[in-house]
Amino acid sequence: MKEIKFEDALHRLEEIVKELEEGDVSLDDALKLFEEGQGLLLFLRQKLNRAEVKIKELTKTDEGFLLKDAVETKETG
Amino acid sequence: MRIYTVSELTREIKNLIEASFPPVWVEGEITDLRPARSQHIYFSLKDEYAILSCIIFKGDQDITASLIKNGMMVRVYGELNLYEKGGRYSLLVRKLIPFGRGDLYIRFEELKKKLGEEGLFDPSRKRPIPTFPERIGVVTALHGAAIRDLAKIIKERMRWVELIVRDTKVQGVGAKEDIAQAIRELNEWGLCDLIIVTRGGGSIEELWPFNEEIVARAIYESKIPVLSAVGHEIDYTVADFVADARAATPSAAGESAVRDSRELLLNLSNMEKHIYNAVAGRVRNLKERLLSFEMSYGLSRPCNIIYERQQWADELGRKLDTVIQNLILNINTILLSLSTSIARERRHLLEKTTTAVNNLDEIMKERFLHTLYKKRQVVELLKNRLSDLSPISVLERGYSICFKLPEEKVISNSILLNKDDKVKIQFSKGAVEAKVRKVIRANDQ
Repeated sequence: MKEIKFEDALHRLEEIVKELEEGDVSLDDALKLFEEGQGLLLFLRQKLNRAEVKIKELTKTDEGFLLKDAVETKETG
Repeated sequence: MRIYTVSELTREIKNLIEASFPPVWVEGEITDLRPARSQHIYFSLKDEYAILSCIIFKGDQDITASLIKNGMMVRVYGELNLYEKGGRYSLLVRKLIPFGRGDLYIRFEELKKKLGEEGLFDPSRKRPIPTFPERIGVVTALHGAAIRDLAKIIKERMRWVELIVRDTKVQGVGAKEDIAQAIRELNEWGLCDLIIVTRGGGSIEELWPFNEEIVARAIYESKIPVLSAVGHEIDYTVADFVADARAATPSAAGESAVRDSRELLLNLSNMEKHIYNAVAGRVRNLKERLLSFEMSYGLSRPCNIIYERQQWADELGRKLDTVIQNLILNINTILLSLSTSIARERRHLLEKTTTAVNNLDEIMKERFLHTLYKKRQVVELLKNRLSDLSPISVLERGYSICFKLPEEKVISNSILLNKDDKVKIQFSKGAVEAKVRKVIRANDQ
């Protein structure tokens, strides 16, 4: 399954808030929206609370692209 | 003989100078270059024997300020002006053409003009920088200052971003080809949503690859939006003009590329509140309606309607229970992740605090000893005073105490004694027992 994009998740959440606040959804739908909203909040928060920035180095080889973790850059000079 | 005022004389000189020199070309070496806060540029032109002060006004944007350097040989075109209040004359420069080392300047201007005419800088083709890039391709030296500055800012603001560095030569021979190739490779790879082309500050020669046509074209052809951040505030490169956005420095690039997650987290909390309130309000409403429904129809209708309603209510209750359970589960996860990050923060704080506490400890010890000393002095003083009041010291001064025997009650009034009572008289040292021969009342004295 393709991971949902942060921006899309945020937009969807904003939509849900709007729909719920306008108040013309049935209770059943409201509960579904509520659950979906909780899921999105969890996803967004998990992303935002991640501990570290990942720095990777991309190199092109004969076999294709290679991605490896870059060592933390040291102060030089 | 005519006597001039200073203004009159200055005014005549001004007229003379400004009238006899229509705009002129002057050649010399730039020295004493000082950009002013007003963005006018002040400098002097000199040769072996003389010096001429020059000003480029802010409005004359034809001249690229960042390319003018001390020591550059230039030809300038402009008119002479005498500034009466300062008593100085200057050349107001309209055109500036470097020669010698200044040919970089000419190449810059020519390329800028050419690409500008081709439409590479058109505002209409600038793409928006994505609001939430998740994977940022960085074209720079892997171990340079630029990536370090950029990563530092991004770490502060948005830690879930991935920085994909395509290690690149950023100066010297082969740099321009490498930079252009890097931009193309990131496009070919295709998994970034933003490319940052960046390097730290340097001399005009060091920044030069970013003024090359091959780099400009690679940026232009990029399907992924490009943010360029080359050198310092004042350095504008051709890359900056072609890119979809320009940041003044690598750090500034970090700031414009990602939003601050602290702000976002706050936003999320607000949205959560809204969602929760909206649903809770609805459920409350429905419950009330249900209740009034049952009351009004319940008696006149068969029971099964009530049962149906009850069933519905039960189902609703179960659904809400699941939702609430999920909610609790979510909150627990959030709390857990918060508590780990709090633990981390706390360890850090603890280290900091320990040092601070140790320092404080020293200070407090000192204070404590000082206070103790003071208190001791006070106690000493009080002790002296107390001993003045004690009966023993009174006796030392020649007074004595009379006790009535046998109960050894202190007598301070003769009314308590009768003739032939036995008494004990206590002196400072020693005592006597005696018998009362006569009682003298206070009134009789």
